[in-house]
Amino acid sequence: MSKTSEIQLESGAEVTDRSQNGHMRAGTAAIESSELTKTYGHLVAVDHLSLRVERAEIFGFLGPNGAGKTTTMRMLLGLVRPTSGNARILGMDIATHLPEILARTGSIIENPTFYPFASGRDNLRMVARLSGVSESSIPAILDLVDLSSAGSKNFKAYSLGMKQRLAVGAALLNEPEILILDEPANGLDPAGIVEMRELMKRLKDEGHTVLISSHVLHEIEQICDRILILNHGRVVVQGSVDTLLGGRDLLEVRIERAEEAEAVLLSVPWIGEVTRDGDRLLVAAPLTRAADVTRILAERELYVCGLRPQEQSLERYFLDVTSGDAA
Amino acid sequence: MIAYMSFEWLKLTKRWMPRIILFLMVCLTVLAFWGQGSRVGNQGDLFLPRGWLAALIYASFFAPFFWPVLGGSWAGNEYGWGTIRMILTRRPYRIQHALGALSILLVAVALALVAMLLVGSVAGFLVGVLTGNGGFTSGVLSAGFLGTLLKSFLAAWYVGAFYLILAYAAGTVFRSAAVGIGIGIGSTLAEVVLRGIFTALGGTWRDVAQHFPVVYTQDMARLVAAPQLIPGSSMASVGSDLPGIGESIVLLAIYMAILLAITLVTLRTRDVTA
Repeated sequence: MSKTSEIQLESGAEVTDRSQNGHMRAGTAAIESSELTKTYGHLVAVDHLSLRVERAEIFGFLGPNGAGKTTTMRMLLGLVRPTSGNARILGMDIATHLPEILARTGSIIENPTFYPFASGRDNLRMVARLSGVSESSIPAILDLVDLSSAGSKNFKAYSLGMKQRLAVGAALLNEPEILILDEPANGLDPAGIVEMRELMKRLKDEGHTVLISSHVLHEIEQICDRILILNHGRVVVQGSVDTLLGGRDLLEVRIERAEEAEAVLLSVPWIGEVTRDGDRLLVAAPLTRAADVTRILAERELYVCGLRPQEQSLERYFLDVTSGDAA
Repeated sequence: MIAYMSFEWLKLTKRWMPRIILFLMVCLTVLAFWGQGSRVGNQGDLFLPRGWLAALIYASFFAPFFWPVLGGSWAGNEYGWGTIRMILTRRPYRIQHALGALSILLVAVALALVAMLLVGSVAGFLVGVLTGNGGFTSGVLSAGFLGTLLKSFLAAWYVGAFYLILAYAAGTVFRSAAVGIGIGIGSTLAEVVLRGIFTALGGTWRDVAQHFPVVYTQDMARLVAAPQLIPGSSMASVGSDLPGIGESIVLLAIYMAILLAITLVTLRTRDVTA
């Protein structure tokens, strides 16, 4: 594990909170929680969780099973009452303004839940009546989630992917400003996952805020601006995807006098951890500085035999930061 | 509240279970008319217009077996299907949600009783014609009769409401349709057994047994209808130890208030983890 990640893990704090233009965002957050805690007897499901989701961003909420993601989402939506701490959505406290918050929020919690005896269309009609919105938008919603032709079919006859798409449609029915989506890609085929990705990006472009949890980390990496990783109810790390992964790029260097090379590289300030395995060094350094690495070594008459970048994936990063904590 | 009622009404119109309950009630009422109509000397109360009262008495008799199915499954299935999440993440007023659902279910009970009156009309007419007594007994229909008919309707509805709320409460507390239905129906059977035991034990036990809900529900509609039934007929005969109508209304109201309070407090305070 690199020096940088150790610092992140120890503090559990945000690595960076910068938007694409590099400045801290100001104003009211879309979702903000402070010391949010939920306990069931002696079990601490969520432990003093503080998070901040900015407006019009896609925020990935990650963690192993049982980490507390769904419990947190349930608290944000008023299904579960926090033991302590508080949360605000669109500047409003969930304890006092839940109806107003839910009117501007769409959600999927765990698996899609609808009435098995009713068609997809009728289920959306029920959601519309509950939400107090017009049923006139239902055909467009069914079209958006590619269920127009199956709208009259009973929900119980839907495939898992169709159920998931209907749930996304229901979440969008009230034209929400915020979407809280728990595993929305569950059961989707590869084409469905791509469609979901495009939909998320489009929603973001339209100014929606999305808090999304998923185990499909490759997708999260592609669509999320920032992520938070939770384990055993506690924040392990949160920050922008670029920063978290960018700081952990590795260069694989093959060199004959590896021990000397290791000592040289460790003295370079912008190089992080260096791991030696025979004639192979794994150097934590930005991929863009590969040429500098070879130059520094060559100046000491250490000549590189092979150099290969190892780009860090979110999947690998996730496993790194959660596995140490798993025991 | 209106949004919840609109939602529950749509659900009611889409669900098959209320229609199946209604169908079974119709079948049993027809069978009851047939059975009673086949016994010479007991047919008089089936001829119209008394047949309407008979239909309501039968509906009230079936109440402990049918309305718990509706109430228990209505509440419990929301947890079984997980749709309680869908409801409360759209509109989080939990008390209104329960009251909206119960309001629509009570309307459903009333509509079923209207259907029973229609069935009673046809069955009573047929029994009268087939036994050579004509389709409608003249001289019975009066303002007093209509008043009794209305009160009998309300009594049958009141009894239905009790069993509906009982099962709805059980379905909510135990988050299960099966438990809701089981407690709804099973409690009546258990009361009958316990009542027999307690009565045999005598003394305080007997007094306790006299306040079981089933004591107030079992003959309420018949007690209300009795003045307009043929004096001395089997349908008009009620036990002398039964509580009065006023007492039954009050005690059942207390029982229903307790069940409703349990339901609402449970809904209000409990986390939704389904």
